[in-house]
Amino acid sequence: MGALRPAPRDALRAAAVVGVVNAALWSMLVVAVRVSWDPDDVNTVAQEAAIGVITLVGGVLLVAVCLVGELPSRRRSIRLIAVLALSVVFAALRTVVDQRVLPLAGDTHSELLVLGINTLAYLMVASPAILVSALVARRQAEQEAREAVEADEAELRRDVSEHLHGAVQNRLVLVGAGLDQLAAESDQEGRPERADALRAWAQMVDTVREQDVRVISHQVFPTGLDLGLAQALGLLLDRLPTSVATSFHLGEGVRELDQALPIADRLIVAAVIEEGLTNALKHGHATRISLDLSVADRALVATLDDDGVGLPTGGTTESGLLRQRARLEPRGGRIVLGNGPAGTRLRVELPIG
Amino acid sequence: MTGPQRAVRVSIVEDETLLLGMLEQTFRNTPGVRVVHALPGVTEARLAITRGSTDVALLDINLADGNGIALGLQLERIDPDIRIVLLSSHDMMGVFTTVQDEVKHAWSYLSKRSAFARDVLVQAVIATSQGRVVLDPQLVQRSVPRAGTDVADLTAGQLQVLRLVAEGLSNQAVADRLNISPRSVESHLLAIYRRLEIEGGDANRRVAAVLRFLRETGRSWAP
Repeated sequence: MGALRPAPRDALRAAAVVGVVNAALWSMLVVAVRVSWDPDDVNTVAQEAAIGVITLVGGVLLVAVCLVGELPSRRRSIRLIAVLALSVVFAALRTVVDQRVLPLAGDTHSELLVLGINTLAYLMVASPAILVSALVARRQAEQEAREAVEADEAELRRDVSEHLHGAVQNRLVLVGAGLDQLAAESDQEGRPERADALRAWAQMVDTVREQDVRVISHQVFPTGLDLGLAQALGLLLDRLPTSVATSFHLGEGVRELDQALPIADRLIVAAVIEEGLTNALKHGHATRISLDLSVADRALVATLDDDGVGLPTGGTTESGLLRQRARLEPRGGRIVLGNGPAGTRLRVELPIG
Repeated sequence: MTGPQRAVRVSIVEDETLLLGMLEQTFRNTPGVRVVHALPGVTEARLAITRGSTDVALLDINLADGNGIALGLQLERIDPDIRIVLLSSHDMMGVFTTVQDEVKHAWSYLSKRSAFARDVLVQAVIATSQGRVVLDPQLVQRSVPRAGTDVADLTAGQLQVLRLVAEGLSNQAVADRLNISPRSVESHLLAIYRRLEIEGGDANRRVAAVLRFLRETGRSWAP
């Protein structure tokens, strides 16, 4: 939990683009400032171009040093020192080349000045990349904090559900059975009305147990989720009205992966699929639903197809899915809602670390 | 598996004390069944249930220190002849369809509510020890065939027979319940196997038919 995780690829890409574009612009600026547009100085254009290329290469290398590999917070100072050192090296290289092209008065004082200016120039090239990498690191830290909170919440939900399914349901079972017993005894004692009343109470206790407690528990934590995401999704399909045909397919390797999946991740995928099922029935009027859970490209993919009316042509306000998207995207996952082979297709992807 | 003379040896794993006591009590007064272990959790179960000590393990799905399904799979690895009955306080029968692919012998399932009825409980344990799959009778009765499945295409009579077979009844018991002859029950079963395209030996086909019933029926939640 100490070192940060590697930054997500798109964040690194963004930082790299910023850094390289900045290095390119800077190199072009250097060339533009130095080139004299005097046609007699044609030679120097090529030399200036070479200086531009050196500037660019140096800049890109600096950006790479900033961004390549992980961004562990402890090693950032080492990375900054490396950037500074490389800046000096490239500045020295530039200074040497400059002397060939544009010899200054040969005293060390002005050479050092030139070296210093060039070093600053390279640091300027590197600074956006440094800044962006700091921003990326901060964003990661925030995301990790958020995920820690979600993990705590997931544990709490699981505990509440276990308590409901354990102690509460067990006691209600005992009460119902006890009332049944009393009813049987009342029958034997020749008191049928009392027996009926007791059985009615037993029935009510059963209703509380099978409906109320079960519904609450499911709202807090989908049934069977602690056994596995596959089990919970299978149970979701099972619950659908029997007028709806269902099919569930598990891809290869999903079971093993499922067992290692953190509870918070299972919760998100189950929540999206449950939302999708509700929509398929309520808005899509589907009569056939099929669910596929597979692994593809190191990501868990759940695909829900239905034979309903499909998505309205104007697009939808899938407000229920918006919140799930907000939880999935920082993890590198995504939700794709579109038209499927027969109706609507909902696809959830969650990369597995 | 077990000869007709030897009592069925049962190990019970249940973390709710009152319930554990009640289950033990039920079996104590039942000839033909002997309780060899009454344990409150997974930890005790893994230590006590050794190979060859138990014919049928009665396991609560929700245990304080683990879950009954994982425990059942572990027990099967220790003793390949052991039979498992899962016990649950709420309807988790749907979980079976993914579990049954991993198990050595198909498992039985009973709700705690039904376990209070002595004959249901005892019948479930004895039938399971004899190699039959027993599903909770109340859940079976509430199970409705799902659209688009082969079970949905069975006739009412065939479905009735399949339901009773799923409850773990022998052909004779089904015949008694429906007031028909055992021969009729057998011909119903053969028709069911044909419809569901189930092949194999008698015992295997019976288990396969019950698992198909499980897979192709549902119990939607009451509004």
